[in-house]
Amino acid sequence: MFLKNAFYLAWMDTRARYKKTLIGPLWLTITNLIGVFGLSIVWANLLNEDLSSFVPSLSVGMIIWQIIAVAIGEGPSVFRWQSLMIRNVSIPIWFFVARALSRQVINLIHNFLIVIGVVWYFNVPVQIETLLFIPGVLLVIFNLFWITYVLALLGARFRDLEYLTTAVLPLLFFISPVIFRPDRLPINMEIIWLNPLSYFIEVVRAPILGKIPDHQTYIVVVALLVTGSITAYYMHKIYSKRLAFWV
Amino acid sequence: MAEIIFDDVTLRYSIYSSNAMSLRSHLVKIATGGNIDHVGNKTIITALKNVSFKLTKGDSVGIIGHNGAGKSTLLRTIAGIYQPQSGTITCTGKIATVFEIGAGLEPELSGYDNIINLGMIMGLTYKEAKAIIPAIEEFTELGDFLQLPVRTYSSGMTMRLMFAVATSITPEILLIDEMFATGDEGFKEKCLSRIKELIATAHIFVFASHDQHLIETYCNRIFRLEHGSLEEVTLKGEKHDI
Repeated sequence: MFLKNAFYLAWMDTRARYKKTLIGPLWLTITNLIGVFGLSIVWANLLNEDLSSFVPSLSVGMIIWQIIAVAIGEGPSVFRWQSLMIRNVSIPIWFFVARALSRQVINLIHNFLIVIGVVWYFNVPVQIETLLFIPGVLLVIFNLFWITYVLALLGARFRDLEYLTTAVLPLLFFISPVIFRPDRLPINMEIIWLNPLSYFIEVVRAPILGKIPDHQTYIVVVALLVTGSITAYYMHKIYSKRLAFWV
Repeated sequence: MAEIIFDDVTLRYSIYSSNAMSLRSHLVKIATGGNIDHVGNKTIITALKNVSFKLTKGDSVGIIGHNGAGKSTLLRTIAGIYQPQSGTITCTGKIATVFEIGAGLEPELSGYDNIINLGMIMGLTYKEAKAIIPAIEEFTELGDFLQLPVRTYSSGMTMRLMFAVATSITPEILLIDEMFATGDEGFKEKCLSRIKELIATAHIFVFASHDQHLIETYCNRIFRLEHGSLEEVTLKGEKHDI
């Protein structure tokens, strides 16, 4: 029940943010559409890629990257933003994480319009394998939940963390296969597979582009989910009691 | 059945200076083998010291004490927001709190949207939250203002809205921290009768204030906090024999 409320409140947050604008939350879609459009033209030419395969790959990559980047970038400040609530109402603190993440999921849903448009425009074949993107997205969201939770707890205690994550994010972007395609990499760029975020992108993007993600991808994503969730659980047990004093 | 029992509750917390909040000082500590200990940066505050009391239905408690005596901390501990280091707290009953003005309100959204938001934060479903609107319309007398964004409200109006939502879910325990300062006379009267109603239907009301007169009108028991220690006093301020 709390989960449903978190999602509703996240929707209200989104509405509040775009209050008094003409097209409201559709700005989310348009912002990304422009980004994908611009990057496609520049990078497709620079990398000598074929537009019809490059644009779908880039747009899915960008959108998944965005939810990851915002979750990591905003993660450390989640509790600080909600400090007034935390000091006033006794509710389970994961509720605030769920609310923040729900907001990202709402953004993702808006951005998904772009994927649909791109798939349709470039005639990317939609087969039964395509549906594998759904478990992929869910795995990414569950992973982001523990990531946000851990970052939020640490960020409430150590205020430097939010600047640190902001500083590290661009670096992570360059070692994630967002713009380039992993199969086009020179051998010395295999480093991207040391970056766990690469698997998050791959587990969603591959099915949409008509490939089944390999075993390795699923193993890494699920393993991260399990170990991360256990970490988050223990941190919750130890630190959640003290949170109200930190914020 | 509403009941609050505090048994020898002690609450301590650390205030971290900006240095202690930073990651660097922790890393430096690790790097230097932990020899440098910034004890001076961490101030430990004992906000509640061996506090014991028992509240049962019909109790209406006024908490008095100097600024910083621990009134707000005590209220937050009752609400379960702060957890004590030692002692046990038994608390049964649905709690509603009105502590800081504006908590949980979204300034850009209308009064109506905020009623639903606040309701859902307190754990109501969307339908239940929607159902409390008419009662709140009537109680707050804000009329068409409820359609305006909350950022246009005065603090008195905000207080009306928050008090109305907090009490509309018929809490068994109502905790209020010094808030009547912003209400006008008419609204104070309304709050008084609403609180009397709540107490009459077997509920607990705890109220922190500096206003002697308000405490005398609202409350039948008085707790005085001093440096985190609590003692029960009579209305005239003498020590109470327990």
